[in-house]
Amino acid sequence: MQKSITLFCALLVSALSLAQNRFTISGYIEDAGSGEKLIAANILDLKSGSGAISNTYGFYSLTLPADSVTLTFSYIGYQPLTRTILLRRDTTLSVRLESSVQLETVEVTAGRYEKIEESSRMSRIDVPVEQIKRIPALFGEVDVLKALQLLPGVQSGNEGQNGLYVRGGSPDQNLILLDGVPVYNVSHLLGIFSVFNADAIKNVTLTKGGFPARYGGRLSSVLEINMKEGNTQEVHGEGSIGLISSKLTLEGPIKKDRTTFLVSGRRTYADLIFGPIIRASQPSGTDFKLKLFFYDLNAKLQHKINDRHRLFASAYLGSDVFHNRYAEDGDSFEGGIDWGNLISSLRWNYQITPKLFANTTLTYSRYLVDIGAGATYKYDDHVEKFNALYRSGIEDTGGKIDFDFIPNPNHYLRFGVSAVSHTYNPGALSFKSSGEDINLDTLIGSQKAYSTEFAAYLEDDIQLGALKANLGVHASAFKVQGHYYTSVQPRIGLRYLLNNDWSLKASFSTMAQFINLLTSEGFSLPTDLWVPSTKTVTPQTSWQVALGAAHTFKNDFEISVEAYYKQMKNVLSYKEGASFLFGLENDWQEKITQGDGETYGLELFLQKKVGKTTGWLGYTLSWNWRDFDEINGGKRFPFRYDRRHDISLVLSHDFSDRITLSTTWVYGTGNAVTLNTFRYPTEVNNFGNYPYFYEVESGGQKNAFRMTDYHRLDLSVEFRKPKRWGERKWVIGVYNAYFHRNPYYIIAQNETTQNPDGTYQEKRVFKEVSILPLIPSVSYGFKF
Amino acid sequence: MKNALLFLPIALAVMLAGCNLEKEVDIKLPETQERIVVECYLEPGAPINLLLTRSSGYFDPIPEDNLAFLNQTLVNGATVVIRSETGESYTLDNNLVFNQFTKKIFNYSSHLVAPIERGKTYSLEITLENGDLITASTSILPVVPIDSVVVEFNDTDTLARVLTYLTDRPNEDNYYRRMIQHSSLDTIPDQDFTTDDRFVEDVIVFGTPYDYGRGDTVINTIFHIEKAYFDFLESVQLAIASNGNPFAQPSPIISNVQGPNAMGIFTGLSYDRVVSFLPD
Repeated sequence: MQKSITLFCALLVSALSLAQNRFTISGYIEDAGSGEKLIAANILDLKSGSGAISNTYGFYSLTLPADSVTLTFSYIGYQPLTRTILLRRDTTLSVRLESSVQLETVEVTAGRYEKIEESSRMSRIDVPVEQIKRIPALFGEVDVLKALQLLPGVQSGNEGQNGLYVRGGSPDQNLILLDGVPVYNVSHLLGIFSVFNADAIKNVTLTKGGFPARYGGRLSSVLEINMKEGNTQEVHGEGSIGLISSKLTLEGPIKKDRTTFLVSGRRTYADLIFGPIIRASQPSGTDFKLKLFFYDLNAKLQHKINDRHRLFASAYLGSDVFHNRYAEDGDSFEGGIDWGNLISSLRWNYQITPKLFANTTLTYSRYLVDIGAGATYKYDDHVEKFNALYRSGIEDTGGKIDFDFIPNPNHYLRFGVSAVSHTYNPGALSFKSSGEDINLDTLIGSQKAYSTEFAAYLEDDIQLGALKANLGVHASAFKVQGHYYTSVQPRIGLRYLLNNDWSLKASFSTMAQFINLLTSEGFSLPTDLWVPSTKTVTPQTSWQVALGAAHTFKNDFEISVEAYYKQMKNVLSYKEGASFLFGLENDWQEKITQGDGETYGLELFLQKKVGKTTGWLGYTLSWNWRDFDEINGGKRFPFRYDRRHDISLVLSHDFSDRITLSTTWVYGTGNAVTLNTFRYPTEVNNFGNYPYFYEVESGGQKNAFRMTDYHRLDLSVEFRKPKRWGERKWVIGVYNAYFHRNPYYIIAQNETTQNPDGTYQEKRVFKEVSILPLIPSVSYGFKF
Repeated sequence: MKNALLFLPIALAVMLAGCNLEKEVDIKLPETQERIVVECYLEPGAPINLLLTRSSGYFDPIPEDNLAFLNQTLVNGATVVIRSETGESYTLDNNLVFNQFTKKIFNYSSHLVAPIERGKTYSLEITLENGDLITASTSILPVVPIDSVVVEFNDTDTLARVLTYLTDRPNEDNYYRRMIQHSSLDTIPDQDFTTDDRFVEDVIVFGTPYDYGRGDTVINTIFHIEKAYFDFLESVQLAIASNGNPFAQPSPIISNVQGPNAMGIFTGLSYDRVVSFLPD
């Protein structure tokens, strides 16, 4: 460890001393049509072969010897641009690249021009948003997280849900950042849909391992989702009307080239369809009202103060609403559950010098769930009312400063600090009652819990000929209940470029996680609760090592092969037998137990990002184990989503400018389930029902059985047509096209059969129940 | 077009309802070794009772009549001996007994009341007909007495709640089973749960909702139980709770008997019971 720090410092000093008689060219790279910043665009000096990559804000910096330099700016899906300048002083040079796809001049096709084998990072995948939008979607509703489930190393959970199980981790171990702010609950409607509206999104990047030092706080993955900034040139819009939802996005300049806005909204309308049907079926004299929908609202403002200062404000507000009210003869009953996120951030980009770029972010987010029930009884002389409300949530306030320092083409330093204060509201129940005799207003169990998380990091992307390294260290501290936890996490990523355009990669990273999600296996419920590590619940930690190779061939095809091994400590699980919906009582710590996880596997990924045919093929071979003293008698057991084989094929083909056919096919080993193997009588629950015994079923080894394998084909066709005002499109899709009955759960049933002698015999059978048959969908979309 | 769009979801819902989404699957459960299940309770001043049964395979047919069920389930012909720490031994007879108060049945019992004493340790030895030996041991805990039972009527109603007070034994880990029954011991308890004393200062109070009417008989029982019995009861309740629930994780039974394929509980019963008659 000490050796590597010494080496790191030596490299740093040599890097700084090199910077003499050299000047820096810096600036931003943007899309010529929309003005959106291009992330990870490539800048190359043809003479020296030195290059740079633009950062998340489209900023680049390249330091070269004083001379005449010829720079090529390039980005996937864009026409390269070459500029020659005489470099005699530090120079600002911002460029705009023209999209090479005529049809989609206003689109930013996310992706990177830096070839996969050139990057020092591994286990990282960019999925173009345009690709995500083309993937056939359940009910026609485009879902970013479900698209990511199709990547190698990412397992989906239960069918139809959006949980990401990255390299054997669980969904709470994913750091999901929307414009840099952690999102706690990404689910709408019990996890069937996610909160991210693809129309408002600019790019999606998933990191599964080899985490650079800038990331921390979760064990298994980092998912960065950045919202579009808004078109700097003219107002544009995009929207769709689908079976279950409609959405509309508007973006454009408030002041051209200075201030832009983007607003995007989505609402589902199951209640508008089913409400009247249910109401019509009620007897007269009764009244039934149903609210069942979710909505999302994204908004972003960008303001360029001058070439060196930019401000961004972004916000997301989303909520699920489920309410019903039933009234009869003056009495009424109502109940409902609402949950939702508010996420907001304020960012300030400051280019301090041509080589030093700072980004300061202030964030506020909260997640809240309200469950309520009420009744009103009307009597001749008075009215009685009763109300109960359960409320829980988590609230974060934080700030961070991140610096990019690019002293010369061989070094790219990043460093920064952050602090977040978490407030946990672990569930408060309030009762209100009023009537003739009673007047009650009480609040139960409303103690809040607080914690503070600090982090600091330093990393350097170092180029040493054919070897490129990303070395760094991430340090974090967590204060809870007057108790401090600290963690120092070394991170190493190495790449060695071979002669034949193949590169070998290796990485090692350790992670720590101080906040935990209490959740049942397999379902994302709004009542799942985030809780801190405490004196007795120690933080989760992990280390992961990965080896791989990457290659680009025929210019458009990327291939990568990676093997990984990951160990996790102190992961949480409910104790055996625990099964409940509303999982929070004051003694939640009593209901959980901590243990270890071990996962390893091999991933193969072949991707084509541009051309008439795009898509990918992913294959994962993996093992995923858990080991808890208090579960399965202390014996190691497979994780529920231990999936030996997982295959995803995603293909889109443009038959013409107007017609695109997309398809996905997925295959996965069946989920692991626990089934009882014997039954026996007991006196424990036998109260006076002699001569019957009470029978208990038992004997199930944890996750020792498998459901049958999962496979599914989805198809969709997109018909586009240019109109005077822009473009319209129809998307017709089908989910589970060959109607494979994929198992969702297993039930045991007693079935009566007739014996040959006419008597009847009861026997038990297991049945797999599936929930999603063949589902067609249609949607209409437009943009202008 | 708009109309068509509106009707699509309805058509979809109808289609969904029409699909058969269940599929019988042939899951090969491992040929389960038959388990021998012991339940034996020692109580000072009462005969010793033991229930010895065998488990059935998950797919075994469910017998149609009770006699067939008993024949299939009860394990008879074993030699069952209880030994005290001082060497006295009591051999149980293999005959079916039925406790008319609790309506529980046992297939091994001591004819006479065995001199079981509190504070002493006892061991159990079962020799099956095939020669397999099952053993267990237990200590008889002292009774933790109920200090008082308080019946409180609601001011505005005719219903009462029942508060049961006891004093926790200091400086040791204690486990309790609390049971409250209406009118007789063979009714399903209104409350039946186990608890430990980790968060208890000294006095423990168990309460009920306003559920009891005038003239009711309420039977309060506080069992002072061993950790092994506590774990066993909790695990059985968890297993029962998860039976038939496809979303719950089945729970294994935590047993305190040793022997080939044996499981179950051997424990003393130390309880205080207060019967309250609510005034008319």
